[in-house]
Amino acid sequence: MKVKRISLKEQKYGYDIGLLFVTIFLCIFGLIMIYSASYYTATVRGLGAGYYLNKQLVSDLIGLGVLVFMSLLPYRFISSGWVIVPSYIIALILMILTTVSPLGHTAGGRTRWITLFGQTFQTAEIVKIGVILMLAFLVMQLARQWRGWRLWGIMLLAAAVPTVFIFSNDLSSAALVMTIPLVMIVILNGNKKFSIVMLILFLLLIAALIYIKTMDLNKLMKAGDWIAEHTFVHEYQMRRFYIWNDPTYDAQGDGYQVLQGLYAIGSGGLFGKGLGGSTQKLGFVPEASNDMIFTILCEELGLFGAFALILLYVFMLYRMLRIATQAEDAFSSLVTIGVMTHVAFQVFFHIAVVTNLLPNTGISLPFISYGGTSSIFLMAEIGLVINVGRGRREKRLR
Amino acid sequence: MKISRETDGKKRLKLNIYMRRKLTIAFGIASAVLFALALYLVFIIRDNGENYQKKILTQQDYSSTLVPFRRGSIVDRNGTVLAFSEEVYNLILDPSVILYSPKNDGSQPNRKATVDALCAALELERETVEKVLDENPESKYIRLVRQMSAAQKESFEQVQNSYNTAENSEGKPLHSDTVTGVWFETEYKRTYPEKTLAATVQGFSGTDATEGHWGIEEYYNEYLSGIDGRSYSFMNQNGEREQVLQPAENGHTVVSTLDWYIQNIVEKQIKSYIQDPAHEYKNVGVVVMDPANAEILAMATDKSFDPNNPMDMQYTYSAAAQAAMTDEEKEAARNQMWRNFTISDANSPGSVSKEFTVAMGLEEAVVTPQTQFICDGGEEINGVFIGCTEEHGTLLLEEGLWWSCNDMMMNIAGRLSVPAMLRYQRNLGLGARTGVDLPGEATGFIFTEETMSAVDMATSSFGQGYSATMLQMAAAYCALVNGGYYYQPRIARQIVDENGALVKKLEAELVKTVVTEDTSAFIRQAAFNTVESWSTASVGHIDGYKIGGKTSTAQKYPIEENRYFIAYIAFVPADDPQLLVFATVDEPELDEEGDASNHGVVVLEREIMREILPYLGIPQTEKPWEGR
Repeated sequence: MKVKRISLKEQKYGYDIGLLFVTIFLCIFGLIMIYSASYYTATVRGLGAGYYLNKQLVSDLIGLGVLVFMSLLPYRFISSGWVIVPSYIIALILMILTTVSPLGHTAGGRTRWITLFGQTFQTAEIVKIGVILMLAFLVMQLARQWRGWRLWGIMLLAAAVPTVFIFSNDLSSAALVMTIPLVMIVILNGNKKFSIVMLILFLLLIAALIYIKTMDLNKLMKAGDWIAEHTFVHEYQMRRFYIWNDPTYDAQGDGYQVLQGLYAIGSGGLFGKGLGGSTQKLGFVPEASNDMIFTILCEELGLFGAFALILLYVFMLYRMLRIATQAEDAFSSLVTIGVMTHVAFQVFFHIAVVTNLLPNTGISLPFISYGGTSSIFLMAEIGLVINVGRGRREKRLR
Repeated sequence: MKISRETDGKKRLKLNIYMRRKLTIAFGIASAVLFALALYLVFIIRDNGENYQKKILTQQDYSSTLVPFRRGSIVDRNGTVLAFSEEVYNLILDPSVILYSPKNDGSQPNRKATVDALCAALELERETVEKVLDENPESKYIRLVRQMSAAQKESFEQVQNSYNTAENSEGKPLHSDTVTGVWFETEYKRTYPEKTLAATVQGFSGTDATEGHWGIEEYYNEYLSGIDGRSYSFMNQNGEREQVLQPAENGHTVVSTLDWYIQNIVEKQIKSYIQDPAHEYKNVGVVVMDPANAEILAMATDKSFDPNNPMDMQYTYSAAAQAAMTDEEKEAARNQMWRNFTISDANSPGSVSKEFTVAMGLEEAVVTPQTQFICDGGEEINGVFIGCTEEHGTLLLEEGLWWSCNDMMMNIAGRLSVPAMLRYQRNLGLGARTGVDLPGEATGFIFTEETMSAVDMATSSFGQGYSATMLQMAAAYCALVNGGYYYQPRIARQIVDENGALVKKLEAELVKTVVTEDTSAFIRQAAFNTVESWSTASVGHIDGYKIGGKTSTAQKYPIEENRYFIAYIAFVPADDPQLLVFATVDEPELDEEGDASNHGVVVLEREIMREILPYLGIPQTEKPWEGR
């Protein structure tokens, strides 16, 4: 067979400009929202109004550099086992160090960060990209020898090992890391029955959640007491469910954050109070620029702003869907599927948590929330997707 | 699983069509879920939007509370406090805390203990408290009682503390519930410890500490006011409420030139004057100044009020008079009561201004102390006859002042030019605000080069036809007798901060030199002799003191109404004035013949001086009159 050389022009055509732009747009949107949500707290803490904005701006610029760099690396390099396996192992080691060594940095009672070279990094974010690459690599390497459950088992194990260390401090990230292989398996599995079983399990989970959510609080508390007595689950862990069921259960304490977030969303109305107009960010909504940023967005920009943001995310997912379906090899598709899962999961969880559709667990909104590591590594993932997306045209020309 | 291969057999794995379909479906589900979330937002806003909006508003007060500044004090020249702001406490209830049920079962375990403590310590009515709690269960901020004393606050805190920390014999807490959700907010209450003293000079400041009305409170409002601070609270990362305090900047203290003792004497004497049924008056005013630098030592009128309660009219109007007033009249009456007659009303000064005319004549060298005048009972000017009080015959310049001769003054005026006379009047501060540091000053009226006729000039020479405020006259007199130096009259000496450190020194401001020392000396001697010579001002004599004085009985316009304005101005010691007192009575009682006498006002002022002079330590240099 003949392999045609590809021209530079054609190669550029494969570079997904749309995905790049929606990413940059979301980041700018995020910077504006972070400034709006944080200037009060920053001022009150004596840091200067633009403190959080400036820090995020630096992270976003680094992230953009990383994105472009990742997108331009040779495909051979990023799909090479010599790169992926060490990356995965480094991420795993960092995660272990975060949890068990004094390098771990605690804030808000959660040990989610590691201090390296005077900077703190949220290790779970590093693990996410490592796991995505590792899973895609495993499928490419093992799919021919190992079929079915042996492959699925290896994939689940690759995700489960770091999850063990994430679990205690960051439940939502742990759930996300485990969801990535599950989504990949569902897509790859040719067995129709399997897909149906997974779908039923998924629906059952939703039904169970709806059941607990709509249960009478007193009944739920009785059940909670029983569980606390007969299992290893502590009573304080059950409280999260009580509050989820009815945030007024502890309006001054643990329910405070949820309630204040709901007040913010509810008071925004159709078009919001205008950018900068939130009153809930003035000391009421905790973590206003981070885990609760969507509530401030709703308060200031209203339903209109919320819809616009969700549309942007759907557009981003659509661009990645195109790359995943048009890709010429499974590695490219799987990396893209992993990143899609990551973004969709976090968007869903963030919004569901702040609207109290799911029990409260701190989770940031991709590209919008304040957080350096999260931004940089999410952008690195987008860079990877753009990179594997470049291959589409290249192959077609053959 | 099936992973398709490249048809050419190259070992590349690729998603097959089913996988791609599944992926597309997964994308569809994900998008649908995200839009479903957006739809859920619609429901939240539709069902709870209004309710949540209200919740936000009710909790607003709580997050950033005002830390009020303390308005600066006003003290007299010796540091006696005339006005200060005292800390009082507002009782704040936080029903959301008091009614909090940890198990969400409506048990409200702390409610009873808290209400009990409130009722016991502060003697509040149980029903009132319970009603407030029932009506505002979710509020975080209910201001229940305003302006409680520190003692009341302490009493509650004691009850609260002893209840919450009580222990039983085993050292365990005695009560399972706690007194909670009650706190005190600091506020300042403006207090005038001297009540009505110097009220019209000080003005008042109401509940809003940023505003001063009338007097020093208004003029120096900028210095007396501070900047409110704020206390911000927010939830930190650990879910704890953190507070950040931006402290208030308190206002500065104004050190007044007033002397508490002298002010007291003046007000006491005015009161005894107006309480004498023999006296009628529309206004009574007294200004006491230091002639060396025009500092106002006391300033009072017959009008009075208590700035602690400035709407109360009892200090000026009798109950009967108040009852007869309509609301509009009351408002007008209050404005009369608050305004400072001595600076806000201009009247024809009358004979006290004859010193000005003599000084003008001497300065312009149209007369000398030896010049002789003949008073033939009046003068005809441009066909208008203007009379003197009597036919004084032949007079020396000084004697004209003793007997207050109009004819002589008209004669001097006749020798002056219009511009010269106006120049001296303007130099003496007539026809323009003195610039005293008090609001509401009137300008008075003097003629101009264009409007002044020969008749106007003649009447002006003995203080009719133009008008001046009491303060303008007193300030001009200070200059006339202190060697000729006109200082801007002042009510404040300095501004100090709350710790007493100097912020601004308000120096005596020499505006101009109006007459020479020789002229000044002549006037002092003439005024001394006016009191000493058994002539017009001899009633003002006080044994032992060297007093210079001049009386006045001015007719108010229109002349037919037969209304008068009587005045007496005096300074001690006559050869080196250290004190100047100016007293006036507007529209005094008339005698049987329909004439006014200035006897009453001279006595009023003499009695004031009699008490002030020893206090100021002015030496008694003269022999008593007995035996003369």
